[in-house]
Amino acid sequence: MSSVNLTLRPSPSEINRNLCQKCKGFRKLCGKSLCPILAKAKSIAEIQKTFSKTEFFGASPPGFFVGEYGYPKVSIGPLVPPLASQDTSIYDAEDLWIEKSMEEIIGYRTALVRGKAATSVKSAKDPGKILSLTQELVMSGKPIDTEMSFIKRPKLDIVFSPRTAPSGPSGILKSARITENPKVPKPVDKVVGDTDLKATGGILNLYDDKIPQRQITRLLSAGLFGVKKRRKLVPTTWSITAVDDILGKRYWKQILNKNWINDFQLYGHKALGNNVQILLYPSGWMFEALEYWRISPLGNPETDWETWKGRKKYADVICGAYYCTRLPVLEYLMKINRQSGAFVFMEVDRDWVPMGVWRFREIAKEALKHPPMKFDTMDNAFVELKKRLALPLERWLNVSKTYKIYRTQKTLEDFFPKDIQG
Amino acid sequence: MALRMVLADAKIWKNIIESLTLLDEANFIASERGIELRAMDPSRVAMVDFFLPANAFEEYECSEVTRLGINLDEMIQIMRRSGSSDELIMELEGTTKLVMTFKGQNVRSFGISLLDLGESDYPAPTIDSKSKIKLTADALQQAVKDAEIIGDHIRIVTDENGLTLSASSETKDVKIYIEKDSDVIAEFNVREESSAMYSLSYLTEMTKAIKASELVMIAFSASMPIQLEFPIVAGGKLTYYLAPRIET
Repeated sequence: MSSVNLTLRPSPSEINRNLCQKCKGFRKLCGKSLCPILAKAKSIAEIQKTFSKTEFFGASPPGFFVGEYGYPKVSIGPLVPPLASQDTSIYDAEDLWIEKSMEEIIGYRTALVRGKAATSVKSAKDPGKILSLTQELVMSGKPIDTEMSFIKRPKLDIVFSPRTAPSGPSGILKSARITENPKVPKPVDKVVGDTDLKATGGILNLYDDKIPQRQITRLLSAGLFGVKKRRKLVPTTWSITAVDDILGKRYWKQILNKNWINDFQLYGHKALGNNVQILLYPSGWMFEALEYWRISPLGNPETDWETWKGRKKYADVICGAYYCTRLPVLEYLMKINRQSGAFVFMEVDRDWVPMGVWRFREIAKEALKHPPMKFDTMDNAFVELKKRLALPLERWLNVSKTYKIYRTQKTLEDFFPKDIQG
Repeated sequence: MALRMVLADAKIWKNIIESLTLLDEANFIASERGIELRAMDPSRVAMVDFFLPANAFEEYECSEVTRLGINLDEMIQIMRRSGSSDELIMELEGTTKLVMTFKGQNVRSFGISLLDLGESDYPAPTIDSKSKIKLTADALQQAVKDAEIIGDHIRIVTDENGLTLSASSETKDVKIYIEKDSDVIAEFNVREESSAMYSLSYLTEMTKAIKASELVMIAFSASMPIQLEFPIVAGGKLTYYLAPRIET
């Protein structure tokens, strides 16, 4: 686990963006057309009907949550919707959500009842009953019928997080069991069983074996990767970003010796009140993620960045969104066998309800699936980019660090074109 | 193909490798005359030009020109395992593996696979610089370290009296003045007043070569690339080129 950074905490600004206005859904004072609390309460009312006091049964997508509160003693447990023996995978499959509406996604998530058991992160290698069952559950490649028994009837609590998808009512578990045999994909079985393989190696192997990233993230979270004695539970929020980072870093190393792209390429996609525009330009690897929340007209975009030397410190301004957009950009460059500079502009509408960073990853991926608009100069690319961004481009460029480098840093080729290209 | 290079002191090679952090991976070329490397960093802003002649080695045997594609991170890790009085033997095994042996109280051999990096050979750029100053590597490194806590680039200005290095940001600034008669200056040749700005992140990497050399020759002209040449053992050299930053 040494290379997994365990302090991927949200920044104060990330936390602030998470807060609803204090009207509690009464007047929609926050300006959102969909009140997250009302939407959640409504779907919870539906679930409550399916509850028989303290017993609960359904097919876990499979889903699993590790809180970060109280670290290193955290609360863990399965996420289970009130539907037994069905394909519930969509409830925890963020990679399928950008086609959905916010109501639908909130519906999926709030239908997930979360069991909680206080557990030391170190117990991953020597799990008690509930953790052991949960580990079995997250290894499953398919939804799996799960029974949870609570000490008290699960309670509605309102938790919207900027990094993770929300979940429904939660309660302290008395016991839990899975009522069918989990179908574990072979590569998962192999990596989890390999107690000499470092966590990073396990993550990369599974990704190459086409195991969905969401499952890799859960496995990391459940402490199922790494050298046996170092296995630990990882809070879900940290785990999401650690996996984005580890996968991205490998590609970063690999693209550094590739040729530069030779034009300016603009990609973009909008979904769920989020706009992601990606501009690739001829340069050695540079990456900058800029984010603007359209809550206040006076606010400025925020930024984190790296050059081809990469980053040593956690991107504590943009946080999870930095790593989850860097990954698809790097993956795309690997695919086209090139390196480039990249700006990722992220605009968040007022209507967005904080439900996690996954949407930036998925929207960026979608953007990169389609042919870009190509330009021969940065200025020409900017003309089109201006049309696609709500905030004036100058405001973005004023805060951009890599744009400054791009403008002011000459290359040796500018001086010795003939010599160097030989 | 036979290639065998023996250095009496492994530290010489360690210091060289630790001065190449501007690069990620690179081709060393071994020939009769010695071993050399010339490569640009991925951003094409900087270039490294390194040469260690055959006579720097205790034993040197190279039957034909050989390209050694090396992942420098891997080689640094290996060189950090060398002991203080170890001898270093580098030998080609087959065509795709380099064996690095530390011979001290015991004998330790590390093998690394060579990479196929293609043949991107750059000739060294030729610059007719107006200002050439040889000074202690320490004086330059200290100036770079001073500037680093202030900003992300450094301005270097020369006139007939000396050398000024400065950096500034919105709230802080620093100025370092070195007179031409100062003890840290070994040679001073300014044909024309020159002023240029360079990125500190690159200079920081370059001044790591202080481990391999006590002196450095800096050469540049107004808003032109700067050349930092560190003389190393047996007439070898470690030269860096860095493109300037310009104000807009």
